Amino acid sequence: MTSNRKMVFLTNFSEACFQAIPTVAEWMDREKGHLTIVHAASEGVKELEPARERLQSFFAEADRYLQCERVLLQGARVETILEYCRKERPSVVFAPASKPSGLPRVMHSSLRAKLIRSGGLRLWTKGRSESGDATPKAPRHVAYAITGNHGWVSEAVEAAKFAAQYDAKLHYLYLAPWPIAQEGMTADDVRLEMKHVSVREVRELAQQLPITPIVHTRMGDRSGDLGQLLKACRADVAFVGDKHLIRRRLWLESIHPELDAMDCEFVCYPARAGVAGMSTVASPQKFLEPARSR
Amino acid sequence: MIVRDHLPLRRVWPFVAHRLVLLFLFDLAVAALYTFGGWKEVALPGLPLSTMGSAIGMFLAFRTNSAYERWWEARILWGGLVNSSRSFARQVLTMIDRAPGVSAPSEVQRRLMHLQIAFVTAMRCHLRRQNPFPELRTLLTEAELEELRGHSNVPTALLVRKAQALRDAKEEGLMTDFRWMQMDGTLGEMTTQLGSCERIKGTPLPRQYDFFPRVLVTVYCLLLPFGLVEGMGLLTPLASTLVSFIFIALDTVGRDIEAPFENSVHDTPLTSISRTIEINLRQLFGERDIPAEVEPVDGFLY
Repeated sequence: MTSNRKMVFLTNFSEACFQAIPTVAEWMDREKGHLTIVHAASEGVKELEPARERLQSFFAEADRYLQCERVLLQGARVETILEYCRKERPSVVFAPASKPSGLPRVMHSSLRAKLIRSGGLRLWTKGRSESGDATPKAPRHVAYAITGNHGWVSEAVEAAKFAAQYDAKLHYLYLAPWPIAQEGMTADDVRLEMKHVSVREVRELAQQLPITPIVHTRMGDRSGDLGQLLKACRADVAFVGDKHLIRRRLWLESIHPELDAMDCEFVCYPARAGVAGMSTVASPQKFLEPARSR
Repeated sequence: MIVRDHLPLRRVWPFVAHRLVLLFLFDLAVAALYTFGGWKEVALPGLPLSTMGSAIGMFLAFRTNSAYERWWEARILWGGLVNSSRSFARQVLTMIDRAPGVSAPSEVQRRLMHLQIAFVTAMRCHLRRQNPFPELRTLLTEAELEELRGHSNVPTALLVRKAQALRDAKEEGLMTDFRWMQMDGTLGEMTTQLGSCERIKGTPLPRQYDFFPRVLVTVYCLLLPFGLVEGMGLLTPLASTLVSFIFIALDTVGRDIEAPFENSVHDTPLTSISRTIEINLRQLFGERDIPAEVEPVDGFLY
């Protein structure tokens, strides 16, 4: 039995890519989708044959998968990958962190951040923490940081479905921005909640789910605040928004270092759907289907 | 497993950079204080440091040897699994009777071959804590997969499936009791190989072997500039960092190879070995759709 969900795994053949393989296998088993392993060679590369050979040998386990193919692209990395994703409309793009070079990367702009920001891709990534286990276990704590996106309810439901599948504890993280108080305002005028989502809505949603989430609330909108909440709930997998994960400094975008240093997998929802018609979340009805035991 | 002749510095550097940069800055401070600050009393005699260095070197060599033993034992066990798989395939082909006049392997024989490939795949995934089911989907039926999902130890469950298939063949009169005992002995070998790999995976090197070398190397690297500064002056940071690199690299190597089933470049190349087994078995059974060998990527074989 297979589904028509497409998954794209971006690789530059780094060790981080190899270490992400168990996670991809897990997703493949859960989604029963079509996996495409993609390598984008830079424009300057004249001889593509070595890259093709490396791509064929990379992730040899995937040769056994029912639906798997390998695609070699060439061109400006971000644009080429985005063009491919616009055509294929994957439900998730796996993009592991590159291994640290051991040198400061002063003018570095993250490919992952660009893909999320420019392409509106739903992206899976894992940070650079070396303290954790290289191979994943079944997650025990799944967190969803409420994004306030238009479809945040279905995002929350998807996180709940994910947690239920692994019998993990579910945490909803509600980060409210610091209130703006001005002269002449009364206490009632000061909004202590997120712009588009109230705590009441979150609690109401929580009551409708077959799995009871723990709702954590905190004032602050920095990624550092989210990092502290994620540490507090010991999240193994976190569903977050791009505003949580990406840091922008001048014209450079990167994954926020505090989150990148955590031993936690992130699934990032874009604020806007850059790829038209991309299926990003499961419907609430689908959630009610019994979870398959593993 | 690293199969290239040389290990480029850019591969090693990220793992030692943090410690080395901090040590270099510390060494620089010591050299500056001694040379420009007039802190002559910080200089230590070289003899105790040399003795300490030798002792730590022996400790590190012992620990690296212990780690290598684990890595090598893992390789031997997987080499044994290659042999057991070939023996099992030979036994399946020659000890299970076919219909008279039929030269192609029977359905029972093919099923046993698929179960053997599935077992090797599941064992690799089990050791690397990887989900085996996407790979098993081409080898087993959906019903079998669903049944296996209830097992925390999938390779053991597959060994039982193989034993059951052999018993069924015996009951159908396709093999004698003696042949059945022989083949069950091969399954016993595989059970031992699986258990031995689980022992390596589940029993880490004693933590003292991990903790003390790291602490001792750090202490030694911190003391080193005090021993060198009197003779080397402002060149102390260079010399001290170079010596520290040797000790830190030795410490890192030992830590890297002590866990041979962690899905890293230092692993025993389980993917490659299991592919070799699959190719061997499929060729023995006269199949045409043979997968390609796993080639090293950038000098690393997984």
